[in-house]
Amino acid sequence: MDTCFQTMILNLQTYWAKQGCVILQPFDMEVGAGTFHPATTLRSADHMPWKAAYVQPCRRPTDGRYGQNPNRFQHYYQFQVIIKPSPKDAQALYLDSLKAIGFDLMANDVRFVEDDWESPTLGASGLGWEVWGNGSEISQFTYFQQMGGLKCEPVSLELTYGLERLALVLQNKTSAFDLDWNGQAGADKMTWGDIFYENEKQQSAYNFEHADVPSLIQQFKHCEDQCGLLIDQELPLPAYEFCMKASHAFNLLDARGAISVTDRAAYIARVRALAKACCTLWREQMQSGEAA
Amino acid sequence: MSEFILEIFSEEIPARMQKAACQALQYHFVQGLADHNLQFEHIKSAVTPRRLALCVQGLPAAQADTEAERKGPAIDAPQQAIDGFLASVQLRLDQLEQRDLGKKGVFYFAKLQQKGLPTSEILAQLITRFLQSYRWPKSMRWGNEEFTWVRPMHSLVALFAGEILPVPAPHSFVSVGRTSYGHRFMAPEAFAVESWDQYQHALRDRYVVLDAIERAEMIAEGYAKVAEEKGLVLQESVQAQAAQVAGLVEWPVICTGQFDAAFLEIPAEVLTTSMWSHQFYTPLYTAEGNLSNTFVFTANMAPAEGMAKIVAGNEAVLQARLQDAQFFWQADLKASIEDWNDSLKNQTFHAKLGSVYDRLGRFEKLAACIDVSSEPLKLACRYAKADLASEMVGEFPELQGVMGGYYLQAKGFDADVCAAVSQQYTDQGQTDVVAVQLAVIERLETLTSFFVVGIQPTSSKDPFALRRAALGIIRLAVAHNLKLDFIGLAEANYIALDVANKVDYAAYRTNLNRFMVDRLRYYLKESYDHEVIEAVLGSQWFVEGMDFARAAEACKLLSVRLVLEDGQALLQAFDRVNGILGAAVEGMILDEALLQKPAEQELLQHIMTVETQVLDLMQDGKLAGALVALQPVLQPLEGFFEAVLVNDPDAAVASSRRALLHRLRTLMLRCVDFSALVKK
Repeated sequence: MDTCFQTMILNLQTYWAKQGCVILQPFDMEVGAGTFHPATTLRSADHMPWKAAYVQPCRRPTDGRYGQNPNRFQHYYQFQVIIKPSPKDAQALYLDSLKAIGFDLMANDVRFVEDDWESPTLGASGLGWEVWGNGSEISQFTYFQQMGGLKCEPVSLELTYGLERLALVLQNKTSAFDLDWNGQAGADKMTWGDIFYENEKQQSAYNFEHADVPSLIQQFKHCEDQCGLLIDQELPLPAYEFCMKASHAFNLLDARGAISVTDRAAYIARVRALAKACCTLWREQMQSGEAA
Repeated sequence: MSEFILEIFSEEIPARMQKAACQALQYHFVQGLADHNLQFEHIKSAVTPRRLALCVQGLPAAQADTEAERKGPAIDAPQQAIDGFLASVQLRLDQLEQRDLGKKGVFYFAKLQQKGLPTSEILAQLITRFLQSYRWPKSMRWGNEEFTWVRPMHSLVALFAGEILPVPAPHSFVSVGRTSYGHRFMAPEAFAVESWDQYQHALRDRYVVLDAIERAEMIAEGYAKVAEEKGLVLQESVQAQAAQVAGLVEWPVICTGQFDAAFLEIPAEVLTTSMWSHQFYTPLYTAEGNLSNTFVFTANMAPAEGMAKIVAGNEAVLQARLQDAQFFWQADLKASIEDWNDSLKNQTFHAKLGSVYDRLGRFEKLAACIDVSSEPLKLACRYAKADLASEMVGEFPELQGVMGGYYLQAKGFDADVCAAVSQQYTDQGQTDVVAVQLAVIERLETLTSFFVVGIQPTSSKDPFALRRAALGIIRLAVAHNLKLDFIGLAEANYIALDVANKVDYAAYRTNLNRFMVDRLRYYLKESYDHEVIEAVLGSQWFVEGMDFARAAEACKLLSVRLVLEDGQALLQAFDRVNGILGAAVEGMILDEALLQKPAEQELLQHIMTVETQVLDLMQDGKLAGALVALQPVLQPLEGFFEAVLVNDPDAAVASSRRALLHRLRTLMLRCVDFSALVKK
């Protein structure tokens, strides 16, 4: 079976489409995790049924290693599934999706190991596991209990596949840079490294050395203000986008070492306040039918 | 006699919660069955990651029928009351018994036959109650319902005498019946449960070892076998690790992996933390006690094609983790310790207590009180927390201290400074004096600083682990026989702490001393009798000096001496003196001129001689010597009691004699609070 990176994504999309998920495209903004996509954050905060799946490129500036570590990068892909209410056969659906990408459940050691998920910036928490494939964390499996400070009713199931990690296990590789991207041979062959090595190097340099601290601090403040103004205008969707931007500015500041441990908690609390306001307003609108 | 079987089948239960739940399940039924007067022969509970199971054997089909009696109204009560009683017990008047209760009168009594409830009904109720009342450390909702459990529940097997019990499903996703399942991958098909015996065997055939202890033994034995084959050894912690790993697998398969020996340049603690804390891999050591590059772990699968792929995958994961650790290690080695220290100014210790950097200043002040001339101690204090700013501790917070030791070593600091920083968080294992001193300072600063700003543990909450800090001080003081000036140090930190909103000094001292004495009492309770502890802690020298090491020594000494003749003699002497004096402490004037009798003079002389010696000895907490020094007073005391009547008709004489005895009593109470030892 073809286990190259792009086919793996296509297979996951096909599989989850068959389960009734809407297949969305990546959100066009920088995020630290697929959870930040409004299709997860906002949609898990309201009371309406919802099923979606999408790839989301993620940026974690602090995880950059200038392309020198085969398993840690500041940019990578997650595949995200969100199903509300969480279905009865959630684990079986997930395991079948592994089969669908060519993962032999009888030849590997797949386990569900306790890992309660919490996002202090989103005011979110859930219970579940990290899913291990031969000791490697290939997915995060979470039943959301809280989002934006609100009790999740119904509970959403969130599946987050770490696509690079999963591909490493699937392709029996030890370095992400060697991952087969397109399944071609010869001149057409492309690896993950062919596509992203240079990006890791340059972006790490930006994240750690060149990101402009004063303008990022300003940017954070600007986004925070905009988010507040848009909440006042009862526009939770654009407001939430500014919350996402503020969060990313915070991540960059963090990577630059510009945030003291003391300030860190305060920044996180500020982003959380924005996320809470957006989720609360969104839920109200969905309930009253305004946003339907 | 019949068998009851319960299996609560769910998604993976966190390993750390399994044992407690398994015990609670059994306890719930032991209690519940007793409450309902149901006897049984045997009970057993078991747990795997996906199931909590219980079996009770030898249960009757129903509770025994019982006869209860109800007292009714008096026979001369109004008809209305009698009719009401008859209605409530559903009997006729001629079925009631009359009984004479003497003065109270003659009353009706009803005998009520109570049919025993069927056991199945009680079991069903107990199951429901357990599902609704068991409190997991964390529990969750799923789907669109409010019922909570540790993870989504899928099915219940609930059988009594082979019949399915009438248990309502706690959640619409849960089915109730006799269906169970084998291993998630190797035997996922449903099977019917018939009996406990058949259930266990069926599971075994389906790659599930039901008993957690058995799984742990399989793992520990498997690891031991690998170690033997490789000529390597395991650490003692392997038993505890095996028990934890048993909570992650239903079918343990032992695997052996290796990592690149080049990583052995990284400190061993980093490697073992990467292996165990993050991956549940158990490291193997060489016979000399050095970490090897071989490790063992347990898979939950036995693929037909063998374990090679699983082992390779796990090795790759560890390789990646170690690569990252190496990155941190090498980056940290290049960093400046001074820069790290500087950055601690931005790390808040506590909102009311300033930064971590501020703590270091207080450390140095405390160090000056302990040993002002010790340069190593000063350095250890100054760099004690530098590693909090390192990459490695950011990634592995559990390695704080240990990493600091390594980094200081790399910078060329002396071994005693490095060891002190490395061992500052443990209560034992320090061999060097500086290490002991820093460990004491670390705890003392934490404990007293929080007390200065009025943050103290309550009975249920101790978020800053101040009890542990206090216990650490005591343990260190006792283990290393420290002459610790606790009171002086507590005062020094009060003065050193430059913050707003300090509590009043007197209140601080009172609260802190009381807390510390309580902790010391708790610590001593493990080894000594209550009376002995109180006798030591109530003595004047302890109250004034708070010398923990000497207090523990005194307890040991008293426990032995009290049963000996001389100890008993002192105790009896005190008892007699105290009996005569009672609680009085004032109004006694010692006028030597009034002590005319030789026996009086002799006692006075002896008290004065002994007094100097005892006070000197107790200055250093030398109780053994003091108890010996007191002995010469016993004979004259005996003579005194024979020769004189203390409460002489002449008030002035009586007062002098009482004052003389009081002087002796005070001296004795300085050594030991004998009143705590006197049999009441």
